[in-house]
Amino acid sequence: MDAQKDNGRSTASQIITQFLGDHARPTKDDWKTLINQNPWFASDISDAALVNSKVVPLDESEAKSLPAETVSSEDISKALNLVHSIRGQTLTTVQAKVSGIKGPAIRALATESGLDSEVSFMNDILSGAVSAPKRVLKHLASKFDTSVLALVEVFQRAFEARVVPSFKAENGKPVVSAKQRPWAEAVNASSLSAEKKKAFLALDE
Amino acid sequence: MVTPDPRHEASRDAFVQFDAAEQLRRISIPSYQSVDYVPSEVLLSLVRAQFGEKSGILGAAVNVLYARVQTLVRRFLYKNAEWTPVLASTSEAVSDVTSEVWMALLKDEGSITFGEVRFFPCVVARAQDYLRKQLNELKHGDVSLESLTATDIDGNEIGHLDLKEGDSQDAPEEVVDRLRRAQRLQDLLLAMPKPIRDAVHLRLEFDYTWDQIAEMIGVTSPTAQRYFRLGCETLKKEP
Repeated sequence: MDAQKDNGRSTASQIITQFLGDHARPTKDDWKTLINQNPWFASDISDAALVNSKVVPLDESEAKSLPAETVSSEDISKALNLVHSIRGQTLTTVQAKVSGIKGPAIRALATESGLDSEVSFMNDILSGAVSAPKRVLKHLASKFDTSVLALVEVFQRAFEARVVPSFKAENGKPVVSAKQRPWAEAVNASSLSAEKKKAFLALDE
Repeated sequence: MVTPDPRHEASRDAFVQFDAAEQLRRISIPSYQSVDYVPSEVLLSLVRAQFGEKSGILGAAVNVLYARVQTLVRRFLYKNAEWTPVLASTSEAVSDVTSEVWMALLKDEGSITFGEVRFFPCVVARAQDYLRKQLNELKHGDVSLESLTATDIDGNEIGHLDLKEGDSQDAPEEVVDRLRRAQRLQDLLLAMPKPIRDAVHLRLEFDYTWDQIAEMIGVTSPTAQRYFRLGCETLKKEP
């Protein structure tokens, strides 16, 4: 019961927050419309209207000019821990989705992302070996229902977690790249036709 | 449904292209007037994506963004000092509210959230919502449902549980109208126990019917009317 109530209160908070963001000075009619749209939250919205009528608003331009506070390292540590505990599952979910793309699905993903059926490029992107071009990133973010930033982070972590091969160098020292390969470098070094290279490079514009 | 802001989208797209050193430099810029300043909306996106954990970007983004939230919260509470009785103490209040707002920003679901589109109104709205939630934590002094009484038609005092069903007089609203003109209604409402406050506010401010109010607050129609009368009786006691 408490959990349901908490969940209900959280959703009411989201609705009210969005409403206040959209209405700088909501009128009685605005509040009534919100209640009519969400009668199950009428009690919460009624209180929100009361509070809002008494609150002194904060001016955004004034707020932006305020000098930033110094926060204690303890508070920052707690804030960071909350990021990991609340958002951690999101990245794990995205990682699972990316890892789940195998076999024929990679070819299909390459095609719909604008890479024709160049499977090796899509493999390199998903493993983090090559930085994904902007347009492919946006498509993949939509495909995996996540943000571009989260996806970039997932690919970066995949790159860092890669297995480094042990091998004996024939000439000189063995080299393992410490950074993801830039898209342009990967395309230009490939055996694609000039026309295809141009199209692939355009995916990063 | 939140519509992404193209300017912030462009900022995010540009940000990921920089190397870690440049990203850190930009995050550390304090003045919003600098062309390289990273907007709070973009910082929130970085934090929610746990971007750059190993490179230190995430830590830097959390540091800066949390400080911005705290600054806004402190300013908001300063401007609304009259709510201090609702909150434990000012320093505790700033810490509590900042922490609550931070959690709300992280918990919001969706690939793009309201805070990532309009950070300032989102934070202020969250701080306001914190005040709303505190209302229900308030002890209302001697005013409890059980202690409230009303008078029947004959002027006899009766407890709220004994009120008869079916009373439909509107006379108390005329009294409330006078009080509303004196601008005291809101303060008095805020001091009432929640179900009574709900009944009075939903009836007087929004003109809902008894059946509507009853359904909204999860009671029967006669009970909603009883709560309303109790609230009005409290208001009548005001000089």
